[in-house]
Amino acid sequence: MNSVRTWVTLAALLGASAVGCSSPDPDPKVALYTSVGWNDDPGTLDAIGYQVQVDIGWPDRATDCFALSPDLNVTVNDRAPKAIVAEGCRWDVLTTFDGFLKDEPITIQLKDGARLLAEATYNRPFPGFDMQLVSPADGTVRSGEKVAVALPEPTFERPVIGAMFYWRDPPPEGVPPFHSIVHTPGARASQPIEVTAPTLTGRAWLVVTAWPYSKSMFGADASSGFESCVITNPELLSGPVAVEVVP
Amino acid sequence: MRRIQLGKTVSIPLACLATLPLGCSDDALPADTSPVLYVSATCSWNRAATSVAELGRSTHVVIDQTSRGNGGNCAPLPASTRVIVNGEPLGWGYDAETQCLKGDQTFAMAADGQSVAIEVEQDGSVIAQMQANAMAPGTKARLAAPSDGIVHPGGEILVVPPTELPSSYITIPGFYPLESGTFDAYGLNPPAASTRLADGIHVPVPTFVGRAAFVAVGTPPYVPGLVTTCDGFIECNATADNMLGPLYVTEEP
Repeated sequence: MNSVRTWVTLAALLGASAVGCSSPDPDPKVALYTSVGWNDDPGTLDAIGYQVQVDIGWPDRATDCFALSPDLNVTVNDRAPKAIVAEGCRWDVLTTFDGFLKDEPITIQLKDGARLLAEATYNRPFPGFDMQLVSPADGTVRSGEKVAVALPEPTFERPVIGAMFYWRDPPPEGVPPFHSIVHTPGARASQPIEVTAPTLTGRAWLVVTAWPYSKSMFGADASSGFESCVITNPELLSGPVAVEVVP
Repeated sequence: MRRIQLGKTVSIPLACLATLPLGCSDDALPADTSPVLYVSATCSWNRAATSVAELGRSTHVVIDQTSRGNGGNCAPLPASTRVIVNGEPLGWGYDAETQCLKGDQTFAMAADGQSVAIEVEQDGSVIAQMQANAMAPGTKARLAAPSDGIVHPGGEILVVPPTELPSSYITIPGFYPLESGTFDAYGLNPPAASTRLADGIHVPVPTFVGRAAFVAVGTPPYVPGLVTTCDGFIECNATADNMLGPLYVTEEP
């Protein structure tokens, strides 16, 4: 994620993060902190979507600086595994997985080579997918006309900040993708949000942002091997829904 | 990305190991006297330039020490203590109240510079080091059009941004005439707003004479640097410059 995000460090979470994790007392103990958020500025089309940031830490390494296997790796669902390299006495390693565009559970696995050390599953990590397209029903909207989306019934009133169209059509080679921001004056999260389609045309993922910014924290729905594991996801952004802006 | 690196651990002397069965407790270990140091490096385009010669990027390095208890005061460091940034010494001193080391200094970056290496030496040995890379990803921006770099008043340039920087919205675009005109630290503004399209950033060209350097800032403004080494410091932070460019054009009537 390219934007400034306030990170709750793994260390700060350890005391309160035993929610939903089994404790098989592995040695060394390993903790998991997962954060989910929309990728504001993806560098490639494949990176458009939610990001899953996986912070894996060995709290005792803070004082013991014990050796770790050189074959440690982590993966999320069917994504290619990423190596875990904790240089020196570093006790946690952050890895990022891009491009989650389906309302699906995620399973995070920590392995030593091919041997599974720990895993955790979160059944509903992307609450933003609750946003629904209202009209036009097929998502095809003329430039300058309105597309309407609806958020689930909010627990409290929230002003909508605006909407963003993340353009999906392949850009020329070497050019990163981009998005267009559309303001939504007066829009409230409690009613269908009307967004004026921009002058640019093409296929896009439409997302909506609304105040206030807050994060929700949950324990894993299933886990093994992790001493603790939590996930946070922002309530700021909803979506995406697929639209196509036509002339 | 902010990274936390732990300080040095206390090693057990071999002589102590030999006596472990007889009760070699932690109390017998020498106290860890290594300084607790924080370091940060922030790369940025020089907005305080007063002339063409001062245009470019620089990196501001801040180093601070905190105490290991001791009432909040730091023990004096050896006189041989030196802080080196990309081979140049950083001037530092002591906080008047805590006697902890503190220092900050700005270092010019080479035009193609991407890395910052910081070392703390004592008695000729390196006790802490930080290496940060990718501090100026905006140098990867390229001028897609005009291909020859020759521009005309009222025309536009097409800039392809690098994938590492946000580019959907561009702020503070500026053309710095290099051969004539009154120098402005923010450069000449384009006569109209820039437009981000699928092929890149379209920037209207202002009127100037001769060669100019173009830069712009993408939003959001914060770009983390890549800390690849952080040994001996309690924490290392790096912030990369988010400026696109410079790209060079020449205006002809």
